[in-house]
Amino acid sequence: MDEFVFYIKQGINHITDWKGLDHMLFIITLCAVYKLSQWRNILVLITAFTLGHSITLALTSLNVIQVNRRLVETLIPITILLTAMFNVFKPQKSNSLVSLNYLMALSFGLIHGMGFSSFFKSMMMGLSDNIIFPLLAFNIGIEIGQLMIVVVFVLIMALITGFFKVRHREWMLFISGAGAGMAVGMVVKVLAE
Amino acid sequence: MMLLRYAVVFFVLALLTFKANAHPIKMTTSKLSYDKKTNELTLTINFFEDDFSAHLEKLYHRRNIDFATVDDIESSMVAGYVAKKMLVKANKKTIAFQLGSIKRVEENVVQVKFSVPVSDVKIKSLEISNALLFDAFAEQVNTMHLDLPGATINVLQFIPSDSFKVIKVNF
Repeated sequence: MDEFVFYIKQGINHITDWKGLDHMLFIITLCAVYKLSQWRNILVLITAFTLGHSITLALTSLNVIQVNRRLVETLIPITILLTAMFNVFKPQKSNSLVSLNYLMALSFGLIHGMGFSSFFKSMMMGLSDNIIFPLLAFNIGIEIGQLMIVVVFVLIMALITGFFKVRHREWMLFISGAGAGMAVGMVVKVLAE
Repeated sequence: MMLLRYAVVFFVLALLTFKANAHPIKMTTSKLSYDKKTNELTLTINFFEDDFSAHLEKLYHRRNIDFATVDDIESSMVAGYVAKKMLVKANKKTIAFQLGSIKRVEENVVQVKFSVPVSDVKIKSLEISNALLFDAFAEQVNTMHLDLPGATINVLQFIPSDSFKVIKVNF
């Protein structure tokens, strides 16, 4: 049981880690287009992201697929940048764009899952006999951390748009603009290393 | 159009202000195991090769350490560094591990193996201090897997503010 809790904590810490904002920034940017009243959409969106990253986390950790770590590190901030650009430049009212959002969450989730697996595999490095149990716990930890990020983000959004009367589109542009700026900084840093 | 300017302004501000990082993985992963048949305690440590070689080169003023072809001096450097930064004590006495091998086990991962025969004295607890690469990176985290008789825990984590653990064993 201690081991299970250990890996759950690792999952939570990994996604909520302030020293590595990439996954957190993606979730925030992804959710920025939705209002509080659209919490069901956020839930479905996050489920799509979860589905995507769980698939590649498992496949990569179990060595079914091999990925280039540097390429994944470069692609992750690019997913943030593309999501931010999509938020800003998409037409405001179109139902088909809702499903496009989910498709984006799912496919970008595949890339983030490879990033999660880099960390998970570093913890194991072939030195643990059992990988399934820790992998399950680590993924549960990521889901918990992800939900924590969404809840905090939605509460801050509710405060800013409800209490301070900031228009939702302004809020979304702020998050998307800042997210894109930070993502470009990450890409430059990865490429410069 | 006016609103779009917000996004551009925040973009530039964020780009200039935040030194956002993708996830840095600064970690060593090790395993401490006991083989009842050979009565040996084995310590296996996996380092990220780029981090470890850069740190050793800096510490020992040496150039281009290649773990595929380590010489005696480099082996001594590795053994010396590990002995200084990782201590395992049994019954209050430091265990003197002997270096067995240094080899590259996968891309950018170098594995260092130590072992030591266990004396007949019963060991009831182990004190483990693991500060590997804490002197190199502030965000360094060290994970240690345990395969020891009587141990109630099988994975430990060491961080710079918590680099010492005591575990109960029975062998």
